[in-house]
Amino acid sequence: MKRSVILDMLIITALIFVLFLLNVALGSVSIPARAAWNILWGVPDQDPIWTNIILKSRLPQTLVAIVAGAGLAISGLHMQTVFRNPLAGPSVLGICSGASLGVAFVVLLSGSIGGVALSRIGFAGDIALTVGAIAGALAVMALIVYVSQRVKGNVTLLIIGVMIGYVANAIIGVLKYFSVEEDIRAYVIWGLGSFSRVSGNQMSLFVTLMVILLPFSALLAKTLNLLLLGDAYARNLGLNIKRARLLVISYSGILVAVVTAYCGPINFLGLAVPHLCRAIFRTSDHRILTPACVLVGALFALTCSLIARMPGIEGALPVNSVTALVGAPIVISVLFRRRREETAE
Amino acid sequence: MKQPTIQIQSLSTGYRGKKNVTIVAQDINATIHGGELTCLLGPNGAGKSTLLRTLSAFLSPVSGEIIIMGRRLRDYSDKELSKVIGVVLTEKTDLRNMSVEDLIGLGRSPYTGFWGNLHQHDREIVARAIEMVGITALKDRMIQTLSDGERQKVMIAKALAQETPVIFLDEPTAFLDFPSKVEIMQLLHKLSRTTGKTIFLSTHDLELALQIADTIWLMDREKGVTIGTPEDLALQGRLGGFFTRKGITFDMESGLFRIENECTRTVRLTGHEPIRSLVEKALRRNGIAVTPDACPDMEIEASADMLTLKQTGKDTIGFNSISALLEELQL
Repeated sequence: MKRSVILDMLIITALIFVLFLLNVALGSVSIPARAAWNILWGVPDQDPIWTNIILKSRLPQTLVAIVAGAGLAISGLHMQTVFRNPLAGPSVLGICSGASLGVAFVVLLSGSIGGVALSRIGFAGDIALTVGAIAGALAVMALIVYVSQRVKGNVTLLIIGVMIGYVANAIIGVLKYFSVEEDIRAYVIWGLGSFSRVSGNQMSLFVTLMVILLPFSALLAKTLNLLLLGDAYARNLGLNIKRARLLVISYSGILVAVVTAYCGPINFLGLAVPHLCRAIFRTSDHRILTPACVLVGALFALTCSLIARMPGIEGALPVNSVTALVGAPIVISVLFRRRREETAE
Repeated sequence: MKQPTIQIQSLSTGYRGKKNVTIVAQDINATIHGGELTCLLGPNGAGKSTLLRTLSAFLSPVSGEIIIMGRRLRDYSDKELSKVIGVVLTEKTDLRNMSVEDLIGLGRSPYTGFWGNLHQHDREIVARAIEMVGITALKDRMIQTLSDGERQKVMIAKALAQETPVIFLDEPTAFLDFPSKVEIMQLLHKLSRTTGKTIFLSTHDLELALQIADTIWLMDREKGVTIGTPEDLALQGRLGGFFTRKGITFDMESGLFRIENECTRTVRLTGHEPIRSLVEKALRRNGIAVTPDACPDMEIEASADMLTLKQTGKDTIGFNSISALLEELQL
């Protein structure tokens, strides 16, 4: 790797560290930075309320933001490469819609058929949501993987993915129509996305799962680099296209399924971060882009999570609004600057 | 030197559907030699691309056998094949943000390990490929900043870095301007001689292929495949038979094709070369045939500084450019 690449990565890592601390220290309850630092390092005899806020709320939220951001960015990168489409993102294959459908089934049907509003049963309800989302996402993914082994063109596969998304959304619409208002509200809130919905054991499980899953992305770097050349060239260089597609789609599908299950559908991040990384590192090499996406994705999510609960804002803004509001201008300005430099060369 | 690297035995190419098989070309028997540039010519729809796709193992043959380096094509695994056949395709890859050197480095993929990292040895081979194709100056440029011709050279360098004894190119010159076409063809011819590789390409550039190729394959839906050196094919009258239509004639002397206009007038033309030939060409374009014999009413004499037109019953006129002469004759 070139010097400048390593330097950039170190700078981004340092920024992640700074934002991590800010995320822990800042919030609607003001906690002095020194106290926050001490609590993080487990120095005894700290204010119990502050300790509680930091360890039970802010720290989990921050960790979730880091792994979710990294996971979505990786998944977006993979989709954009496999489909050779700059507009592809984690949600493109209908996997997100599958998760939404799963959640819709759980939330809306439990109210209408079971007669219990899920929002009232708390923890068990959370688990039911997660299970519903994962089941829905994996079901759609299995369908897509099956199709991917049977159709030849990438465009066909992409269109089928988008179609599946539409069907899922249509079913959700029907479910909504027959549901009570309270349940619809619960579903809509899930759909806004949040890094703070997960807590306690579930959080540990989520973070562990992602920490195990993320390193596997490195194994796909060579495959993805070959796919950049197009199917024919890649095949000629010894790549089994069908198997490559299967691996990449199921790997990023699982990433999206897990993240969506715990944080809700988060749209913008997975599409934007790969573009940011390409612009910053000026490369298409996945050996650099993969770690870059992990880092920039985490940084991006931390920034959004921080802005979402800036002091002065009561509660937290929906993550989905913040990612696009903050992210779009950043991405556009970076792309513009790079384009100008390119034409100036 | 002349070693058969590829043997094709009663090969039929085509596409296998669910129920029916569409056959594009039937019963091809041929040999392709190493150290030679072979060009596949034929009209659109003759099955050139299908044949190349079949030879590159992108498509399985409907029937028959392809033997490469003494082994059946279908017995090679994907991995092994990537070390035997390198391809260059017509379409542009929509790559961005990758340097020329990195792209050529991807040609080493069959040899690199799990991560695709290049070792010293691989880097040397990439450097040699860059040098052979003559694109050292482009090495650090990004792919999207290259012209189409430069891009094609990069893909050829990629195929060289792949270190395969066989290189197939599907219309590599299709989108290039004329000088680039010539450059690429000459480069490929030179490479076939210096490296001993078997280079086989399809093209629509008839004139270039006839001048540069060692062996020509003529492909046609009805007549199948005809193979020979350009000169042999010319002598046997095969070339003429293949491409002659109204308006195209085969000039046996130069071994090239000529666009023929119908001529309504004749003129006697004398003078020095190269002016004489150029004037003849200009006249023919305007429907005036040239004869060396005596001509009753019109005679043109071409010398280095003056074109003189003598017509019966008119004054002799001198011209200092061909366009002036043509203008007079149009009247």
